[in-house]
Amino acid sequence: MKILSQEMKKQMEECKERARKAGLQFSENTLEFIITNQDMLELMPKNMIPTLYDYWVQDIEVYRNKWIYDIYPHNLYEVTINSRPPISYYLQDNADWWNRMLFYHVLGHIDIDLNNVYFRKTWDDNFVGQALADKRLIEKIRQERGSEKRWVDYVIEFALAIDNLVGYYQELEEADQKGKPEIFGKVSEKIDFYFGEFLKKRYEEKVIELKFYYDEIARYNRCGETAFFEDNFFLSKFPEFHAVFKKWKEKNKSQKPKPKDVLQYLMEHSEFINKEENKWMKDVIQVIRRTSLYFQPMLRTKIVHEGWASLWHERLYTTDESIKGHAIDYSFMDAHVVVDPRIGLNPYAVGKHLFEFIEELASKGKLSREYRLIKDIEARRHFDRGLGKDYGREVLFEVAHHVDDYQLINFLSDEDFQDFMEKYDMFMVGIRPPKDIERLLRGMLEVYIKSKKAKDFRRLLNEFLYHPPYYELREENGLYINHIYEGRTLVTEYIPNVLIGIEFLNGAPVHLETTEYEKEEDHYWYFGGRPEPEHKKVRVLYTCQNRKVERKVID
Amino acid sequence: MKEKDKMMTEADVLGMQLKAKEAAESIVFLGQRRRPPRIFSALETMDELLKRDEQREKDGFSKKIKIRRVIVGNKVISVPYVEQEQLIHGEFEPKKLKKFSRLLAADDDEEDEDLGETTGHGKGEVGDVIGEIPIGGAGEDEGTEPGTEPGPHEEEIYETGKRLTEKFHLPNLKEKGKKVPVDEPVYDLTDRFRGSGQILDKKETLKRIIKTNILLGRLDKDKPDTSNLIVGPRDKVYRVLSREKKYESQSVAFFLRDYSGSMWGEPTQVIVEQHLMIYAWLSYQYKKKVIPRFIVHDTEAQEVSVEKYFRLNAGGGTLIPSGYKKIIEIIEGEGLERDYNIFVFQGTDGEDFDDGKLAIPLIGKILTYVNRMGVCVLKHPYWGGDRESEFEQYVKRGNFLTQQELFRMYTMSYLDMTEEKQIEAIKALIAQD
Repeated sequence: MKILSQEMKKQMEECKERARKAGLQFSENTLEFIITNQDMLELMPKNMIPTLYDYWVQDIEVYRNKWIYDIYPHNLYEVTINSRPPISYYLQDNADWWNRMLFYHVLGHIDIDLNNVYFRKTWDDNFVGQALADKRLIEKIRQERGSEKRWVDYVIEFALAIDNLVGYYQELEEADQKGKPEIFGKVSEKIDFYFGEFLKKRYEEKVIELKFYYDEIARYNRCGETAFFEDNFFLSKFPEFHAVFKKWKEKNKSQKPKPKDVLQYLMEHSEFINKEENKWMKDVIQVIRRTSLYFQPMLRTKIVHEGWASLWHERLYTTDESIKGHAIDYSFMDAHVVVDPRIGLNPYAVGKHLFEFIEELASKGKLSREYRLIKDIEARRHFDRGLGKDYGREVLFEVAHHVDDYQLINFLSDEDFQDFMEKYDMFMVGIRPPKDIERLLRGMLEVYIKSKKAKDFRRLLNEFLYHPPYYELREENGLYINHIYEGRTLVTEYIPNVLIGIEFLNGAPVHLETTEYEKEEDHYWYFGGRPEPEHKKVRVLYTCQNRKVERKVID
Repeated sequence: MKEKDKMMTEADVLGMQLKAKEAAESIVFLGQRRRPPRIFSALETMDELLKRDEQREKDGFSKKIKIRRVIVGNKVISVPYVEQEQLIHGEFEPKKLKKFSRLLAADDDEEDEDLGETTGHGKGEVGDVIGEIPIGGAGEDEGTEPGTEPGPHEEEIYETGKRLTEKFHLPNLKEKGKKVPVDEPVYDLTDRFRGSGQILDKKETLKRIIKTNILLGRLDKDKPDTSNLIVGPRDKVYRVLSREKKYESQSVAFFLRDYSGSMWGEPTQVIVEQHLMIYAWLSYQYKKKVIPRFIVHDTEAQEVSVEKYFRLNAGGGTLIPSGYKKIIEIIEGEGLERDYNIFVFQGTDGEDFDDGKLAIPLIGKILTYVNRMGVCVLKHPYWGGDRESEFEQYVKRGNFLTQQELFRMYTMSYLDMTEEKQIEAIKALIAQD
């Protein structure tokens, strides 16, 4: 691994100038490295962060479930890391002119990393430095454990098994509440208690009527909190309020803040981990959690990242002087990466097209209520308020800095998305066995255009997105994880081992409630002909106690 | 439809459907064919990794390291890998959820026979067929690409066999059987020569002397007097080093596997691993003098190279006797019976289109040629279950199970296969008691 040559660095700085002029924003310093294929292979298990902690599984081949969530692009010509300063790697074999194009691509990535709000929790730290400190910490713990150091690896393993469940959104919520309490902050505890419990109870006891409740809300909106509670009328109606509130507060003070995810729960509530001799486990889990939180925004903005970077490398490189003589080479190589496949989904292409389309809509004034109300196709096509390219670009940047993949895909209304699909000739494809048995036996499946409807296409895009399971925690004879069913089941084979790991860390039983489909096997053989499996949706409960996992159907 | 394609068992059809579904899914996800990640160099040796796994069991956790073995040339490459287990989303809701009223069952079939959906781009109208994708390619499994990078854990097959035999206490062949002259000359003090040589054979010499003396009349048969014996020059008998022909036993092992639709996926992997281990063991037993012959069959059989054997993924109907016919053809055609010890190891799921009419006489014939025939029957968990498969039924009828010396059969489910279970199966097939 070596640093970019002086000459190339100069080129990089030139690219930065042009990019800044175009509107991209990023820090002064960036670091570039040239790496070999071998380096790339070695960095991959560490998610491209060279300072990531060591773990033996990283060394051997790791198979992930087919619904895997890749962080980094597949072209592997370049990789960018969200660090301070931003680091990027370039493959040794790249031609210089290709690297110049890649600089633009990388700057697009950096722009998102530094400006997209979903990354806001990464703006304050330098992860690479933090990772190095974490790595040293884990090494130290390993040394301290001596002959028992394999337990460090076990804890890492069990924590990794649930690291995709970290409370990314909960963390953002907390940061917002602290940062902008006037917008996001909770209303004061007192108000919460008054309207939430106090009045509610009295309404149930028929002491007050619903109308009173609403009147109180209106009164609150008129005066500030202090005036609200010192009003004479209020004090005469509920003289006991302040005493009751005080008592309630005392009772709830002892409660720790709600854990944001399983890992946090384990760190704070697990008796096993909080034993004196196991306190080191907290450090290890903390490292795993922190690392996972760092990668979360990347997993959720793949289309945004790649689309944005592709957009800018195209716009900036094709207008760059140094493309002279390489235009054909560039088109050729670019086509491999940003192509719209006949069959399949390319996040680079989709992202780029979406951004371009949104910019166009904006500059024509089509992102307005006025436009939405128009249903006539011809009128829609000719609609142009002439707001200008600059306005379009402004909107484009705003959008790019405030959306993640889900929002980008669902940003446009159905009609607009339909126009988008038409413009770029997109459709939904179905794969089916051919009706002709001969062709089936020859081993071919038919691919056909199934639908051109926006709803169908968008549904597919949404299914492609990264989405870890959503769950709720509570304490009930140990840890109770309630998986909220959202249309997809969990991978059943993995559940037992994951639960055993959690149980070990928890020191108490662990329960997982989830939904599964049970195959009805009865009529396989008895009815002859082609058996048709039917599935029944059931709610099941997995309980892990003493390293044994049991499954029970509950309904 | 071709004649042979009519011979598909229920299991074959189901297997083909699974295969088609997987092919569709490989396209659907990201529109790019997912390859498993490239081999990372394992920094720990295989022994260290295995020790780590054993320690896991002692600590009360399940084993995590899985090993994939591939034969390349005459080396076995072991690739350790690990599956990352997490609570992640798996399948989407299946289209056919049980509804309490199945009155409209007929209509249900119309919609959504699709195996997968994805996005695409280009010109065309709804309903247009825009392409075809092959199910599983020309039969090649995507697997690893051994040979491109020097594997960290590779060893000669003989070594693998030795390791397996020692680790799992596999039996040694009682009788190695036919011996065949071998090129290596060996010198032995077995021949005798009168007159000169290396070592005097005293007994023989004495015998000769007495004979001579009797002929000369110097010795009386009834009253031997050994004091006055003449020793002629040609009486001395010596043992000399002479070139002997060395006889070493050698064998041919036929590995036969069913590659019809019903064997799609896991069953094939299990069988192929098992045969690899049996081959290694045989190689150790016969000191590398094993010639493996690999035969795959669906409704017809063909002999293939070792690489192909491990990778071929076809589909189609099942006719086990075709495999037997091929084996007999080879044995008789090449006259192997005379000089080689023949073994036949077969892997199948038991479902066969033949009801025994063809197979039973063929198996009988094979048993006249072999030292041992071992068949492993892999039962499907859902469709096979507790039923006796076709194969098991006609084996019973042919009374082969009583001929324990020659024929062994072992049934097991292919789910959750571990190395221990494989060894159990192998031990059953090669048992020498």
